[in-house]
Amino acid sequence: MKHARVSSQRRIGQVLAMLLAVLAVAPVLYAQSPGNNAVYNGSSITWSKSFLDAYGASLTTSGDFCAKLGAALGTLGTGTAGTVVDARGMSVTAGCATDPFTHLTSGLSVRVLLPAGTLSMTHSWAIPDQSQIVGEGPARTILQASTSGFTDPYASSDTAILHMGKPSIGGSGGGIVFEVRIEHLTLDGQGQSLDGIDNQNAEELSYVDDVAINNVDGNGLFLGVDPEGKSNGVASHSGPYTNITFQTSSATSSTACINVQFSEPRALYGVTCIGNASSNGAILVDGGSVAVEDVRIDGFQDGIRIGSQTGGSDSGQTDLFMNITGTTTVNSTATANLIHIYSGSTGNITIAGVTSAGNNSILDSLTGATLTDAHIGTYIVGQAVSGGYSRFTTSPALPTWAVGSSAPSGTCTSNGSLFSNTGGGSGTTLYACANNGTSTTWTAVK
Amino acid sequence: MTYGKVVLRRTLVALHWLALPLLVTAQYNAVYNSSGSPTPSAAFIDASVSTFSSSDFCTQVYNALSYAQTLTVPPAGVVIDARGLAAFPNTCGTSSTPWSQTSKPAITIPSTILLPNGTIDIGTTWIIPPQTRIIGKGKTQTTIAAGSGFTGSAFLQMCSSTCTGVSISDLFISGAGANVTGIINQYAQELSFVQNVTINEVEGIGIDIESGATNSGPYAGLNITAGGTSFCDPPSCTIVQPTTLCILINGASTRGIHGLTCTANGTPNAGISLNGNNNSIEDVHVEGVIDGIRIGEKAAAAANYLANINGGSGGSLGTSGVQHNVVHICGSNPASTYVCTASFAVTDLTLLQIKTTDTGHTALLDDISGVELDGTNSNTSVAFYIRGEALSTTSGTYGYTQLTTATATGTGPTLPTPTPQWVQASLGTSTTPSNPCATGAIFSNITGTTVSTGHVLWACVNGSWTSVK
Repeated sequence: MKHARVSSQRRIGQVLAMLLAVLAVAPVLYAQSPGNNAVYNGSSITWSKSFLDAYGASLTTSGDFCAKLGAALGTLGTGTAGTVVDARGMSVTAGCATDPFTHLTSGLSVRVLLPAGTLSMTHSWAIPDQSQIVGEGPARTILQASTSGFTDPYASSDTAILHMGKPSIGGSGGGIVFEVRIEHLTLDGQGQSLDGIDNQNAEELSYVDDVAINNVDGNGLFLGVDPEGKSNGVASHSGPYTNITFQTSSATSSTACINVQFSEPRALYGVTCIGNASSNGAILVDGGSVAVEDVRIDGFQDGIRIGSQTGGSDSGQTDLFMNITGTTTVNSTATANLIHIYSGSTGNITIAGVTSAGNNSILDSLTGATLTDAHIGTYIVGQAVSGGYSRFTTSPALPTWAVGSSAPSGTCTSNGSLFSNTGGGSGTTLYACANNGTSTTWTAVK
Repeated sequence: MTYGKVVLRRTLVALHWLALPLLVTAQYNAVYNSSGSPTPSAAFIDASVSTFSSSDFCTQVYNALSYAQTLTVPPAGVVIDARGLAAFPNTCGTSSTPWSQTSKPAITIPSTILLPNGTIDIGTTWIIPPQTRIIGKGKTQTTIAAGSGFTGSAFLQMCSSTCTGVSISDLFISGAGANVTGIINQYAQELSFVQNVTINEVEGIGIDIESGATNSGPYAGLNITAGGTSFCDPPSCTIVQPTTLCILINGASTRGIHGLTCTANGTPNAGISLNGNNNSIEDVHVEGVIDGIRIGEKAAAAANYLANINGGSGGSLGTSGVQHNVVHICGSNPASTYVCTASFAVTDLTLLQIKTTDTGHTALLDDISGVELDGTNSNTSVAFYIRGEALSTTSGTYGYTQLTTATATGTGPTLPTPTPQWVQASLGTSTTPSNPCATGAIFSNITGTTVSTGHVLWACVNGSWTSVK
């Protein structure tokens, strides 16, 4: 009897033990993966695949930050497209000598959360299709190009820290990508002649937001065409590019804050460009249908150059510029020209809300005009007509239209201006500014 | 003890040890390692764990920040996840903020703080330090409100001296009728912004952007209610006052206000008070303020750009008061009502797409030239109104460069003053433009000739078209 009771208890114990063992071991054997989040399931801990923690997924991997991040990315398999990979728990002190995205299975996409800290990189990254990198914020997550042998195998000409998509080189690789994004981080070029971000391949749903680009002496942001042509990719229809600061004290004549080269991105909103007297143009716009708004320029010879680059099918045209400010907060000398319209532009340019810190607020080499007004409300250049251009500006320095409630008197500033006297009568209502051979005065027209 | 009990006990002990790492490193998130055990990941710090426990919400968040700040090697930045504090204490003492505690070191480590849903009653102004971002769970989900004994002139303040990288997003500020400011920015500049924020019944200023906040912004995705007639709980809204504002820009050049709905009960003088150079204001709807955007009342305003601004009186449910002028430019030639208390120079102003939804009210009131584009003259909207620079002689200003598509005719030279525009049409060789017209306007007849009554170029003189050529 006792033996039977003991046997019965033993059997119960064995069954219970097996059951618990299965419960305890099952996650380890069949579903849980390194890097899965741990969450409570009642009173016990279980795994969740809501995101992949790159630190947990790479504990057994040796090497630097990118080797570990690459290992974590390499664990993603079929059916994991769009996984959030949280690398914020990883240390950046070991630096980065490779592109971690090369470990990602072809066709997969990820959203990588990067940690705070300065990551020293000796290799550029090409962010793949439908993938994003997100830092903890500018000045906190810093991707720094090492001064010891930084390499960029994706560059056909300009080396870049980051590529949005992979440019075509030598007939291989590359192609159009979508939904590539870069957010909340700083890029530090350490005074090297390289680009911060190159986009030659990422189109719709792709953008850059809340990014500081420091000490980059090439292009801070380059928005251009794939080296093998637009059929392989172009930055058109990407954007907007928002909340971007660019600052370098070692700028050269080839340094640009943003270079829109023969492409048509949606817009640049909220940009600060700080260079020095050696740098030529801060923002180069050589593409159509680009909106540029809320911009501050300090340093540089020209703040915004429109139509300055030749050789492409897109010249600066049909572009919109709003709220453009020049400052001398960092550099004591103002830009020579806050906005410079080159003769290579084909017109249809609208500018509204300009404040210059000195020198020329607008130099228009297309229509042959120079404005030195501290503030300009509107400057619109249309199309070529009869040897001239349709044009309107609120600056009295050029032909304009003014309104008052009394007759104008004395000299006027621009031959060809009109003045409407809303309180006038016959012969005192409409005036033209005309040079009578000795002076330029308001002359009654009607 | 039976064998079964022994096995059970041993199994439970084993499970306990598996879970133990979570307990000894409770401040970090737990993730699985390759051995199948939870291990801590420093991706973020969960402020809700008992290690940081306090009866004061702000103290508990402070404790989490302090932990990161006092590590042997402090991280360059830290993410504090306080979303788990939703069911925990949600009040802060009158000297308690997430970054400042009595007799304790101030928090200076850069951080991102994720706030929980629910209401957080604060006891004093949260002065957000440099490189700090606070993010709620949504414009109606995370509420910052004044707790009992609240002291301070603002709910949130962006830094206490010049700084960068401060942001506030995805939350709701409940003023409950208090005469304080919702968010004040006197110091935060580049890469500092406010986004997706609701400010409700703050009867001082919703967002106060002072001159030290130059280069900040954008201020985007905002809903600011400065008191309303049906969704304001009496008696709190009884203090809605003429000086209440949704947004004040006072001497700052910003990256703009993009996307704002501003409502009130009809008492405040203005929704946005614009007094600075180089600001873009776009996509704005105003209800129940006398002036939707009042320009140049406190300081000069040059080279500003406003687009897609509309206003109206009340909503279909009568949720707000009367709206009078959508845009009001202060100047020396004011209308008899709705007068600015002072006026400073307003030049180089570009307005695009300004509209009032009330036929009895005004899309644009320009006190410089006396122009009033009002609904009673069929001017409920204007596509283009540009006020440029002054033309002056030693005896004073006699005009301004100007271009508009507005068709206000009025009865000038008394108010409302006509607004000359350039009109174009194909009238043929025998038709003259129809009267009346705005004195000073010009008309191009595309199909006219110089030898017929249908001339090519006309000028409006004394309200009638007169041929020029």
